[in-house]
Amino acid sequence: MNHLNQRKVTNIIALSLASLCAAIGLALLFIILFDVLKNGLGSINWRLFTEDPAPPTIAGAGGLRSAFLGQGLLTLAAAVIGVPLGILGGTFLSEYGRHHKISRVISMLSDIAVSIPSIVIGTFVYAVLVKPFGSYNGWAGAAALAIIILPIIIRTTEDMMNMVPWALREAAFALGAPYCRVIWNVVYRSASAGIFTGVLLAIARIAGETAPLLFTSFNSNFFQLNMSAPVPSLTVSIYQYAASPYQNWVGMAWAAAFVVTCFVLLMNIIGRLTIKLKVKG
Amino acid sequence: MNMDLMTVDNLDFYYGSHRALKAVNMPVVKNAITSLIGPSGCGKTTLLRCFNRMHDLYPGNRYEGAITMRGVNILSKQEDLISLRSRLGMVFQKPTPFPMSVFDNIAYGPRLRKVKNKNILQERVEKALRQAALWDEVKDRLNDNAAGLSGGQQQRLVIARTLAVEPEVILFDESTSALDPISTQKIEELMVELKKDVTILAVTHNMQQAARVSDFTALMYLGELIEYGDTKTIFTRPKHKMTEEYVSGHFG
Amino acid sequence: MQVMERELNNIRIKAASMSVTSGEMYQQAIRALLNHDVDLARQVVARDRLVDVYELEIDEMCLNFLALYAPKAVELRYIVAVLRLIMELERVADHSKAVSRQVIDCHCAALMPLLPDFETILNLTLQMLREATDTFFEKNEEKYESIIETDKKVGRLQRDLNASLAQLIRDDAGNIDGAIVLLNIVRRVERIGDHSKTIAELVPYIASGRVVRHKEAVIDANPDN
Repeated sequence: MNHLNQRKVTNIIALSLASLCAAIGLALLFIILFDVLKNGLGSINWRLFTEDPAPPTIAGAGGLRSAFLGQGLLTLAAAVIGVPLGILGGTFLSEYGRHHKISRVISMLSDIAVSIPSIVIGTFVYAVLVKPFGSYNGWAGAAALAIIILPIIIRTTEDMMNMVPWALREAAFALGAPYCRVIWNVVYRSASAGIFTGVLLAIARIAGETAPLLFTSFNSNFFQLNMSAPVPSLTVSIYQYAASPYQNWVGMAWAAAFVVTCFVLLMNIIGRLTIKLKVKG
Repeated sequence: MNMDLMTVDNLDFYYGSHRALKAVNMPVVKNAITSLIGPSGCGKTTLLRCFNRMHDLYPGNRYEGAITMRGVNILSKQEDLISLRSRLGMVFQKPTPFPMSVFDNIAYGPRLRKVKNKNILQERVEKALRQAALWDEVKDRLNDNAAGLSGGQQQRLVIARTLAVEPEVILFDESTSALDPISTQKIEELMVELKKDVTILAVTHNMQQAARVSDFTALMYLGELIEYGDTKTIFTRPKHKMTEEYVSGHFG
Repeated sequence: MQVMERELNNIRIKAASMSVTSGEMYQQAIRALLNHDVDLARQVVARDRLVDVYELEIDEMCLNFLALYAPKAVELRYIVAVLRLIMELERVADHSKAVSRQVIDCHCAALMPLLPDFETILNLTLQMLREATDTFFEKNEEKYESIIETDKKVGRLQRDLNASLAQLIRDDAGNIDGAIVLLNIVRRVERIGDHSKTIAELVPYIASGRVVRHKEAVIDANPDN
């Protein structure tokens, strides 16, 4: 009996500690969300999306249209580079290379790469794609973002493809299908929802990144979408505006932060819904 | 009339260093059903998967000996696995519909063989579904996802998909163990029906099933073929003591 | 399952052929006896071998059927009934053969005109056998009652015949050889009646598992009822 009581007590202590930690985490998250909501909602208006940046001294004018477009362009370019590479890499790990030691090494490195601070990636790309060319440019920004999503997509693709039962592949092989057709027609189709979710979550991850862009595409106050020059960036703009002494710029930073947060949240929700509806059936 | 389509000749099979099949010898009679029975882990599925070289998908597996089909050893390194597997189809334990429509599932094999003509595909799909006794049940939902069919229907879909490739042999790997009795009976009837066109080799845990449907039965134990013979003989007066015990349910 | 049905049908056809053969043998044995046709009697003796082959074949078919299809309920009872049926039919053929042997071996015709019941018992048992096999293959339960009635009549006739034969021996010791032969024949004929009754009793057994023989026996085949 004594023994049982002791176990019950231990259980209660562990449970309360865990609940407390979860509560703290959740509370912090809600405070941030509430803050962004409160400050952002007040400053949001149409000008934010329709006008380009204006000097802070002109009250009631200027927006972040170029920054939104620039950020979108960078994210899109990063996805165009990173998604195919990531999916093919994940395919190698789960299919062709699954019996090689090297794939386990790559898999492990990808896990580590997911948690590399993005500023480190930024400085790396700065050294490789900015310094040699002598100017910040959009391609460098896109490359830095692509490097961030690459390991995420590799790992989700690998995991999702591993979830496809082997019996299904064997069934396709048994019909005399070559490996590439098995992957293309059967494995990709079965894993599509999961891979799609992975891509969405990866995009959500880079949509709000600032650090890797600071050293690469930097920012521009002008409406310009030339990828060989500095490209306007929403997150860098938020960083600059928020740090400025001008009340209307700070307001705009809150509004932009609110929009980014909503976007990231939306991506996450869509991603999770997809996986819930499609993968788990 | 009883012509041997294939002969297994002194076949050894190794998973790495583990010898999973030991000097197996048996014929496979054309247009007949041969059942492989035996307790779990006796090597019956391993033997079945030698016929379409499924073991080649995994590294470290090795065959010794031969399975001869029309004078050719299908275990040789030169054998083209893609063509081999279209001659020997396989139906698995659990239904494995591909995540696509009923039509696309059946058309998968023909499409692999570059059949693109819509009418020919349509014909092939209908023929295969009729052979698998599934046509009447799915003719109005050819474009629905195959995952929406019942378990028994899915298994017949897989059989139809295999038939659409027009194989000479179909390997059944415990193909009714995941199904209810009614679906099982349908598949068994189908197997007997299909004998006209193909040769069937079936692994089963269900001794009664082997007794009901097969013409020949082989009992395996610990990687060895204990006894092969006419199903009636195996189930009424087996030669081997172990067969006697197994079919009467005293071991396994 | 179609295969199972086909196999069951094969057994049914073979058993029906066997019953026709046994029935014909008995009919011919009667004819040989009444007409003292030795050639016909020889044919009957020769045909017994055919019935033995039938028995072995059907026995094997039933064994295979039980082993391969593990039948349940009505099919199981049917197979069990067929196994009993062929035993009974084989006995009927044996008795017919024995009667025919008597026809070949000795002249027993002399006493027959003195016994009007003798032809009656032959015809009654032949009718019983026909009705019993018909009932078995048609699954017609109505005839069963009439067979029981006939069996009782056969029993009475046998008693009367035995008494008459005993009287004949007492009257004239010269009748003794012929009377012994006829006594033997009457016993065998009565046995054929019994076998027919047993065959008829299989019909309710197939239909519902009801055991109707040995009504006087205390053993309840259906303890739940």
